[in-house]
Amino acid sequence: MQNTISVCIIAKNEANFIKRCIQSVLPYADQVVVVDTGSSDNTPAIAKELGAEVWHFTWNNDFSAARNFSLSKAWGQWILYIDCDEEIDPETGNELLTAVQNNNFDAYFIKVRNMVHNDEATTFTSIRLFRNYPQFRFEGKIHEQISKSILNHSSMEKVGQSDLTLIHHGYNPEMVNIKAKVARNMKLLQQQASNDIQDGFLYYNIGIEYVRQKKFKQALENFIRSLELSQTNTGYAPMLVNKIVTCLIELNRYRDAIQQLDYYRKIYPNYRELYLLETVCHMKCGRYSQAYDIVSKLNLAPEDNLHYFYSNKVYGYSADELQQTLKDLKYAKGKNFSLTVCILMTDEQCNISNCINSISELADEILVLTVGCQDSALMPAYQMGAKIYRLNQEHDLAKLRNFGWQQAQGDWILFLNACEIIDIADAKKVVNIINHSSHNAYYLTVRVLLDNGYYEQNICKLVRKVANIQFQSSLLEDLNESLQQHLCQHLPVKIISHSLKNKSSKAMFDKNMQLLKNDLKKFGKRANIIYQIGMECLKINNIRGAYSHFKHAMNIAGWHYTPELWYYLTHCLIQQKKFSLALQTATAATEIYPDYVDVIYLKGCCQLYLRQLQGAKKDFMCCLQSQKVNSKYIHHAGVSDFLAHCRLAEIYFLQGDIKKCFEHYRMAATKPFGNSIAIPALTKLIIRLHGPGAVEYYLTQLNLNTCHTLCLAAISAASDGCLLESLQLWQAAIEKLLTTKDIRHYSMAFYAMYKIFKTVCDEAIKNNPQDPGLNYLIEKFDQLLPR
Amino acid sequence: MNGNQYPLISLCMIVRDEEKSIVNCLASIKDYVDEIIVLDTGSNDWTPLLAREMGAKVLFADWKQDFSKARNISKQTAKGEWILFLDADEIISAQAAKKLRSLAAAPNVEGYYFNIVNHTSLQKDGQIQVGLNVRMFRNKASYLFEGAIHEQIITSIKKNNPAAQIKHSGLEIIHYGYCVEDIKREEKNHRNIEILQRALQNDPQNPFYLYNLGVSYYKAGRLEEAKKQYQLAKGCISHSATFLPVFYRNFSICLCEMAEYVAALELVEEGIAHFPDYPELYFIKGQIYTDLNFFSEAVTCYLNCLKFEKAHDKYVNTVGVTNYLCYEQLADIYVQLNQPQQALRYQLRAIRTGASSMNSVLRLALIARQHFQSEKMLLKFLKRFLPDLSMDKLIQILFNIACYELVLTEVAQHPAPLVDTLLITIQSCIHLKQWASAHQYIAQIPQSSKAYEFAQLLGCICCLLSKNKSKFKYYLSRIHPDYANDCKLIANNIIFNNGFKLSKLNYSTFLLDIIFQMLTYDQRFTIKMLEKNLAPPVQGTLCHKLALKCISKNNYILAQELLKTSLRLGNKTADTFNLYSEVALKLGNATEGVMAASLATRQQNTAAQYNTLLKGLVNFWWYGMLDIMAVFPDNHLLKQHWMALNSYRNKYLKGE
Repeated sequence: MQNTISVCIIAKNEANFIKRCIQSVLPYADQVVVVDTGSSDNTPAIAKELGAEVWHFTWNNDFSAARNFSLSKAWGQWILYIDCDEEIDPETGNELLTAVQNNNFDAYFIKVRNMVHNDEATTFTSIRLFRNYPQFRFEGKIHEQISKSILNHSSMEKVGQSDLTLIHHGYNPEMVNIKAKVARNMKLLQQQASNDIQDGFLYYNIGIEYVRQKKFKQALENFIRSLELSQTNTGYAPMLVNKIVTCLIELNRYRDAIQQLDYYRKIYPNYRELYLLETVCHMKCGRYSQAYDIVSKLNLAPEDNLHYFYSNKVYGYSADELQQTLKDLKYAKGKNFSLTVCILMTDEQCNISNCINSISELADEILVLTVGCQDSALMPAYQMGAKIYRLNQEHDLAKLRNFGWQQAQGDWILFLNACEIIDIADAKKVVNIINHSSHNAYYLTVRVLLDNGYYEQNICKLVRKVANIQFQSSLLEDLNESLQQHLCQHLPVKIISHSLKNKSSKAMFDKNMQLLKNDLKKFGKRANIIYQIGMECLKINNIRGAYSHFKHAMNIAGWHYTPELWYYLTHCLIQQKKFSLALQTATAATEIYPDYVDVIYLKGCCQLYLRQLQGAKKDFMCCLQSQKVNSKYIHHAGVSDFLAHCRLAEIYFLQGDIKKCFEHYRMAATKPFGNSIAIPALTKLIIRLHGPGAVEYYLTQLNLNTCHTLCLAAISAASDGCLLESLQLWQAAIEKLLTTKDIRHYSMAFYAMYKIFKTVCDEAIKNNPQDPGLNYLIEKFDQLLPR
Repeated sequence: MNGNQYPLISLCMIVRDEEKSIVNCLASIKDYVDEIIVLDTGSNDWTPLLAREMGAKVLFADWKQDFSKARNISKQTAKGEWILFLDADEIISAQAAKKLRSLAAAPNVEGYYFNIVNHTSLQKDGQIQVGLNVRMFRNKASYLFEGAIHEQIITSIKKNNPAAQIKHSGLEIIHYGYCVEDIKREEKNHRNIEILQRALQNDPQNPFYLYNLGVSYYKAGRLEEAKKQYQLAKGCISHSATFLPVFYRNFSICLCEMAEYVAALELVEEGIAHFPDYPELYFIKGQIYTDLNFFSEAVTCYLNCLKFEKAHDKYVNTVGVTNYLCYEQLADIYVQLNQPQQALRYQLRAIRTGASSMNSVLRLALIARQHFQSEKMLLKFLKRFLPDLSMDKLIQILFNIACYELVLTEVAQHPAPLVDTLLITIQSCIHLKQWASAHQYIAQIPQSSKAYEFAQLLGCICCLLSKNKSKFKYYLSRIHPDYANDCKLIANNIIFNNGFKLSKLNYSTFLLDIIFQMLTYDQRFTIKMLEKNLAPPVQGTLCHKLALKCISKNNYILAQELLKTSLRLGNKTADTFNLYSEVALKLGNATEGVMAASLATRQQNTAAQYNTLLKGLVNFWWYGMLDIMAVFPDNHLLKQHWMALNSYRNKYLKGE
């Protein structure tokens, strides 16, 4: 038989879609191969029923392996591979038959049209149809590619273009498929003689102009138009491709950028910068090992062609620098388990790219689960390689999390929120510990950052995919309650959460309250829910509301329910300036939990406010002595070090012992986070005691004259109205920077001068609010030197 | 007119109100063409008559705001086989004009390019730009000028006859219309702006018009508008446009002047990517880097530019860009880097490759003075390397670099010094406090000379500084009465009177001028005299006023001294602090600048005071950053901040 066609499909749990897919290819295919990678539904049965050959393949986290397995089962002379969420556009079906009769070609670009949300369809092209030669095989674990193999074993001239069109329906109706593909023009391949290269250059120039203005979106539009009108051998074409990819990277469209690079690297195989750009893409997504592999290969790649515009640096990195940087960052090699990271995105303000970036190296699969977020907010996640699921369900986080649990393919699942990141230094520990783990679940320390410090608590975040566990509360992460029969260990890995930083919006409060009310309806008045309501009140500074809910929770569950409750009750009382009552509460709490440092600290504060200095001093001393905080408590940053020191400094100041006062500020300033509290206080105090001109001297005496602390002092002096003092401190900071030659301090030095300048600007405008000249000057400053 | 064995040439011109230049123009060409047609588009002066006088056939037409239309009318009646066209503010050299006939005799050529040499000043050190234009072509009815302005014939020739050969004539036409001295320059530019705006209404996407409008705005100093037009032009300019290279040049110059360094750099780099053989672009890039204090990068650019022996004719080129202009820039850089020897070497090379103005020579002398230990060596060097310099010029240079002793020794050897040289000598004597010699030289200035009165005034100043009462009266009678009164006032009340302190003073410009001159000769004496003989309020205000005068003469060091005195004498007003701050900033002392400005805001929190304070702060920041840059030269973020800070400092805080 001549020109037979095998259609190859890989599938897992595709019962809803596979029928449409197979039916669409039946009229043209001589063989349909379906490789099932472990469906738990009746996908294989449906396929068989439609006449497909079904093979089973054990999923090993490698798309290429599965695809190649399907190719190995094909006997047709041609292969068309297609995904379950695609179908052949029946109007173009005959193109398939025409294409396979042409002896000039070994493979074809065909069109894939996206049909999602009835949006304006976008079409891109892809090599999907090729001769069944054993040397044509897929490569790459995640972004599996056939084109590289085809080009290696055939040539560009033997790749044709067909109008055969696949309709891509998106993964499932609930899944978001963001249209993000860049239209790629096939004229490039055909090398048509075009006599009008002018217009191409014109759009190229317009694009450059927009790049200059940092309007990358408009720049990209023009570059694409230019690409459509230009030939690949035009002088500026390589530069154009470089600019397109650069724009895509600037727009954080890494997935699209990589796709373009895959393509153009074959056309300009000697263009080293394209490899560098791909390295940057992976690096910006946090896939350090992958990035490292590419940049390492670069040393083997041929030399740059002189005609290419190149600087040998992209984003300020040379190849060597990139390699060096990545060498320190990569750690995933040697991991012997697969991990799915399940990210919940409930708030569009969250910068999910930071989250993904922090775990990409670790993850084999990233799922992003959301209900209400817009495509634009999900775009970064998609571009960074995540699978995105939008569930058309009521806002119920338990349902989202449980859905993620079911979808996850990995041996382990890590649950994160979009505003959380894993500390990179800690991430390596995950590999080491889980490689040898015999446990099924782990508590991780979640450090919630506040404007000035943080608190830490332990939450069960990492579980092995063994048993059927379930989240219940629509807001809380209450996995530990369904884990009781499993052994849950503490993993010394920090998750940094930005959920509370710089925001406590009313909208967020309303949303969370709604969820908690639902929980109340469903589960009745549980203490943990009431307690959470109190916490929500606290976030929006509703102290009275918070206090009454905490009281209520304690009434339900009793005084031994949880130590945090005592802490927050005291906290609320202090906020309401009910110091005596607060002192009573705190004293009671310390009797029950004598090692709960945070409450001892609050007790000290009460006494300080009540001017019971001796008692206060004793409490703060006690805080300082308890170095190791018991991990069963929610712990606030600084209570056992810098905050206690600052309070002691205040006490000694009140007692007139300036030397001890300074000493305690010094101790506070040496702690991380501590200096941003202690240095301004100290600076103000020195200016008050010794007048201007003395701050640098005293900071040096106290051994606090690092670039960073001097900058903090400079900012503080400026805001105190001591401009000259402030500049003197800044100059001292610069001298430190220059003598230590530690460029990491530069951004602080810049920030300090920026703040000083802004302080003067504010003062100028305050005195001359209507002056147009000043307003213009300051506006331009903000435009040119944004923080 | 002889034209028997040669094809005839018709000169066609369009003119209006050109009586100042038409004669020069026609005189340079009339003997080398066979017919002159001058189309007058509405002169209100003698232009048509003068043209007819010079042998032209004068036609008249209404001005329709369209250069091409007028030009096409001018060529309608031409009988020659060739048309040559010139503007009234152009001339052609006799040697060049002589060759026109042989050009006309060449077969198979349809047109000739000429180098248009644009002088930007009548002075020797003015920049000269050379561009290319078709100015002579075969007289065919189908060849028509196109474009309402900056009209071109070549497009039409190419359209009618794609195979047409257009050759370079190798000849120059000299154009004076861009000279700053040309009083009509601004008016013409304004007229061009109007024509371009009108043309763009009909054809808003025409890159040539947009570009030219940009150029015109730039010339008028309207940089923001220029930038906008350039940007619009960039959106529609074609890759093959003949003006694309010069577009890159002019646009990046504009951006650099606007202190938009990031954009300027990006643009000029793009230009170089397209036209790597256009030296001008490397030069501009060098200037951008120089502005940013990126000296090593700038040096690389200039060295790249110097690699070109000569710029290609197809580009608009500034004369000297591949030699002396670069050398002078390099010399300046090495002066700033405090490497006088290297600077000297480059400045000398600049002079040898064509930098011929007095300014260039003076720069050489200044650098040399910095380099050589002894004045003797300096003099030897100057004489050796500037053998063509006349004695008077040499003395002038020596005076300008404050080598007063050398002035005196050289003058002594001069057989017949010019009056100007004598004046310089007198001043040198005063600087050196050689009063007797000064009086001697003053006596040598003849009464008939224009400089006589000034010499007598110098005599007065001489006497004031040396407290010479008797001679003072002698000179006083010979100077202008305005000066005489004020001189007398100073003499009676300040110098010779040791009694009471003057509490009131009439600050006439003459008085200020005399005291200012005294200050330049003997700062300590003069300041002491002011302190001793004036009451405090007068002292303060006078010093303040004198400081303003110093600033207007760019003498900031003296201004600072005066302001210090003024403040010391109790004149602690916000204005004085503010002025002190400005002067300190000019002198590169940001810390003092900020301190003074901050004190000024304490006294008076107006926008003007804060403006100075912000300026001071940015300068303070700038110097800090400069130190950081020196230690971390390759940090990307730092470079970005640095460029932004420079743009802010130079664009928004530069002046008023």
